[in-house]
Amino acid sequence: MIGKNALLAKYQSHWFWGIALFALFIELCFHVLLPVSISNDSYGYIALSRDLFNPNTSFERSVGYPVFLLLTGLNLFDNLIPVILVQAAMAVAIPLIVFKSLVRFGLGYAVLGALISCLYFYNFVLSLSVLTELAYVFSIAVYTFLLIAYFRKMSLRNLLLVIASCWLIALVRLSGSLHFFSLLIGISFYILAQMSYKNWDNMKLGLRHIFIAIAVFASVSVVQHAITNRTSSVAWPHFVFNWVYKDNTLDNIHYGIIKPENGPATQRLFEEIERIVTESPAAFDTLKASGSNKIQNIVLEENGKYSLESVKLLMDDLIFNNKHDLRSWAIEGVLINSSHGILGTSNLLSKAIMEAFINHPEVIVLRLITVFQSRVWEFMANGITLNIVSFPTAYHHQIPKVMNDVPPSTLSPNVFKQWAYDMFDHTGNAAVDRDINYPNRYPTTVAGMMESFNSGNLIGIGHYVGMLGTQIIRLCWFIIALGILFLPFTKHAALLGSLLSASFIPPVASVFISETDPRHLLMSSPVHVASAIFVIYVVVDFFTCSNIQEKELARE
Amino acid sequence: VNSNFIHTILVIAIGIAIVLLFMGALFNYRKYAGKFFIQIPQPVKQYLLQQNFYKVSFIFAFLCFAIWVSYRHSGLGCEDLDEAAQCQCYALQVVNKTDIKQQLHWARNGMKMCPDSKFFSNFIEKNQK
Repeated sequence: MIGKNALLAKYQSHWFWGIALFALFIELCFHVLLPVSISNDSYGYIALSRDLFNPNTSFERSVGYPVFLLLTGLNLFDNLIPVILVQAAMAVAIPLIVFKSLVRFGLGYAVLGALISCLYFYNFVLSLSVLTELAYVFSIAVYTFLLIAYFRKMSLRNLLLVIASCWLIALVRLSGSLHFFSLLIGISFYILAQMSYKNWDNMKLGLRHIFIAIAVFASVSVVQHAITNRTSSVAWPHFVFNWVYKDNTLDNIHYGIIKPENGPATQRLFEEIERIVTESPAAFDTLKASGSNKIQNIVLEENGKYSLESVKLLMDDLIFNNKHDLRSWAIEGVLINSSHGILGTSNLLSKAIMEAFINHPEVIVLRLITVFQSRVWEFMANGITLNIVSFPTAYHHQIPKVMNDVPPSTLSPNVFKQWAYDMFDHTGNAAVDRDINYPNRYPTTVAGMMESFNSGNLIGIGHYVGMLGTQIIRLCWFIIALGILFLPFTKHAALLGSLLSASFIPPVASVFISETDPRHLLMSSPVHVASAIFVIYVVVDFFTCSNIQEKELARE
Repeated sequence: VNSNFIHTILVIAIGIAIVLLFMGALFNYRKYAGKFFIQIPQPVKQYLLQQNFYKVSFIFAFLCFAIWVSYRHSGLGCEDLDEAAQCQCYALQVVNKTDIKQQLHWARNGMKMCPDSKFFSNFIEKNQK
């Protein structure tokens, strides 16, 4: 006779491996439809994996993914396939981690969550790209599992594991450390709940854990800052300066509020730029190249330097004609290459940015409204649209043309061959399909997808199918929004508060900080799925418990 | 439809057939011909049967998947690539080789593919002496 628990465990095991098989089948389908991809951002990670200890190489990137590339032998074996296979295993593992996270609430919840994760094709599409995306989603899945485990059993070991998982996320992308705040929010809810129940022992446990968590996290942060400059506090001005500096005449996501009249820090920033361009004609040329037409004709003096009048013209252009797309990066580059270095530049820019926010606090509100209206709400109500950033499958224009006497790109020969072979293998025979402006690269309709199908362009089909699957996360977002309403009434407020804030704060903050980059909304899927399923559990639990109470009252 | 697509689908169909045969052999499904094609040693069979059917299937399928992905991308030469990528492929071979004879060999091949490229012509000119 098999006991009830053994039978349940057997069922769980069957569902678990059955879902694993299903996820592998989906992964296989996307390997048929899409090529392995090395796109624009991949080069930074590959370069960093070859030069891990150089603080100047891709300073705005974290080392987690380059270490992953190193460990999977990208450089050692000159082979892309181990990276892709490990990423495939991670993509298959994500629904399984969601399953393991939710099985504590019931097999049905676990199966539902894992199936939604399987049908959310974004992870499988990104498993083919040499980018941080999949490693980031995987580390968020691990975090979700550990967060749920912690709030089910609040032990010190589980607390330390959640903090470790926060650092795992931060190792992959610097903004990952934001997940730590969700842990704190959850423990705070726990303390408040225990206070209302007058359960002082549990309240003390919560207080002890919150102090330990802050102490451990702060200590690791201090050590990290002592070892490296690759921290979120150094990198954030790199992302924010662009949209704060750039003029808003072209679109509403830029604000053009870095002006000398903001205060002494901004004045110092422009004084420093002025000093550098006066001393270095090369720095002047860099900023001139990304300037307006008014300054393009400025030429060097006979003494090999630019005149003071030319410097003044350039500075006026920097302050009043800040429309050029790449200029903020050029300013940052010039400062980094001067005596300021990465740390000094970050300091200068961050102070100027803070001064701009103090002078224009409305910008923060406007920015939040923009993020919600044009990203969160737009995606939730009208559907998730994809582009070269969210589905960054490499395309033909990214193959460098060896026409001049310049060294080829950073890829090693075999990795290049694997990438280029797969790309051509997936785009069919029609020359038009390989055009950079090919209209059906991201088809949004069946007719568009059929055009890709008829010409054998599998990338178009893969993107269309991937886009359809990605929509399922909108359902989770809707349920998460409903979950906020239940927060004050549930006995699971600690875990629910923690999961809801983890679903909300890191992705929205990342969109806010970056160029309103919408892919940040797509990369938190494990926590979104787990939160949505947990909201369903809370709602079911709420009404079932209420019914029981009503029945008991009626009986009395 | 892309001929590679049909080729890939065929390879996957064969892969699934192998998985089914393996499973047939494991679970003695005679009508799936497992008994006739694959003989699994008894101790291995005993061990596998103790495991979850889906677990065994998954591990076997993942191994097949890994072999297929590796096979597709192994032993590629520059000539396997589309014309647009061949020039870059030869250029990378030139840069990554240390033996000057091999470098010149790849540069000459590159020159044939991309006669307008200054990279190959300059390299040959500089190193032929």
